[in-house]
Amino acid sequence: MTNWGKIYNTTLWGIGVINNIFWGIVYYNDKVRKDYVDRVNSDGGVIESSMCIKVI
Amino acid sequence: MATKPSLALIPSAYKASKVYSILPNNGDGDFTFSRGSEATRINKDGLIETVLDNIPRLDYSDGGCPSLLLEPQRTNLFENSSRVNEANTSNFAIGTGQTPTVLSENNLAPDGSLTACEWNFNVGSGVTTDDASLINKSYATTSGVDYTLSVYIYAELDNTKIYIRAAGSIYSLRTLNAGWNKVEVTDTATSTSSSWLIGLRQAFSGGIINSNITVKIWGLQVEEGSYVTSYIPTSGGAATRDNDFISGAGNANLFNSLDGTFFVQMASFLNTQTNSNGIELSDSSGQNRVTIQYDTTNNQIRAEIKVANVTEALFFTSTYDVTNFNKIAVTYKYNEAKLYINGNLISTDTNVNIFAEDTLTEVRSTIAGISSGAFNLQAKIKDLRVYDKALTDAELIELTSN
Repeated sequence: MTNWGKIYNTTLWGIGVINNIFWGIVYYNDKVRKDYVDRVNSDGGVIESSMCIKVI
Repeated sequence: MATKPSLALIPSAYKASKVYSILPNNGDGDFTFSRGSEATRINKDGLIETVLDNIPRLDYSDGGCPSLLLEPQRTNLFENSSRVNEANTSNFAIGTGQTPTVLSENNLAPDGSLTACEWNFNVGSGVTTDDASLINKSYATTSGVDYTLSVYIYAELDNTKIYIRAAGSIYSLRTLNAGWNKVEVTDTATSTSSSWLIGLRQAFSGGIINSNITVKIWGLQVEEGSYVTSYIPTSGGAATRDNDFISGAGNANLFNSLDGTFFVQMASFLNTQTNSNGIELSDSSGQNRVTIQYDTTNNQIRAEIKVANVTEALFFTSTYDVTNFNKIAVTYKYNEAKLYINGNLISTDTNVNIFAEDTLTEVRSTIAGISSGAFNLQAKIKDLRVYDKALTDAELIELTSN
């Protein structure tokens, strides 16, 4: 199997490591996005563009 | 940038009277939204959609991710906006021109309804300003005041020419592409009665233009003001869209009053404001605030820090086209305040008193806590953040760079 261990070089939301300041930015944004969507849904809100969310 | 904001609004979710902020996730950063009327927006499918009172508008007219639309109150003075037919207009011809006629009335419109009217304009063989084929309608105006006409016109062919006028006596030429076009013009009224106008007339600024065109017309709007706003449907009478207002995001626990950064990415609707309008991180009174605002000087962006109503820092620049989505950040802490725009440091102030702890409690779209419309932000917001520290220069460059 080629690229063993290189699982998430590119994800739906972008490149795995964006810069040299913070590892896991993509995963942080993904978590924030998920929490946000869950909160809006539970509050009866309308979500239109969650893919635009990038907090850091 | 790895630093996390304490409040982050990237317009993407809403319900009646609420715009959801992404951070914090407990709802403390959500905005209360108000607009006392229905309004329209361009939805993600590119269609004009009507939304009810107090429903925030995520607008997709700029393409890509939406912006939160915050418009002033406006009135559509044309009483039958979706039925621009012979019954609701006056039509006339001059010289070799023929009086415009409606060929059909039930054509597909930009809102998905079958209400667009198909018109034929024909000036015949004449080539002078005395040869015209026009529709118009008079309405009451105030001399010296600006009025804006906007209308959707569907052309069969690229490079179709047509004249429009909102008021006064100047004809403005517009070139249409095949398909639906939104055309607009702002004119200053010269009397207490004016006429908007659409049609063909030869030998004006455009020279000799197409003499015979068939176009569909829909969504006509005439509003007092120097720029066009979103479509206001009317049916049998003038209609008013109330202004949009956001407030109430945050609290004293969420914000650091001693040390912080206030960031907004937004675009104004016009370069020179009629009134100063802006957005602020503030206390309830507006006496203590960090304000980012557009001013009555052409393209002026102004940032101000006021502590107990005393100006501690005041920055302004007219370098940027304010109708673009500029990224604007203001930092504040004791003896240091900065304004960054689009990756550039505009100014620094090193003599700054700062707020007492727990002073700042709210972000809202006005200046000095004034909730009545005149000072409410008139803009489209793409991104808004508050950080609980003054970001470093490197962070500010990264945050505000395009």
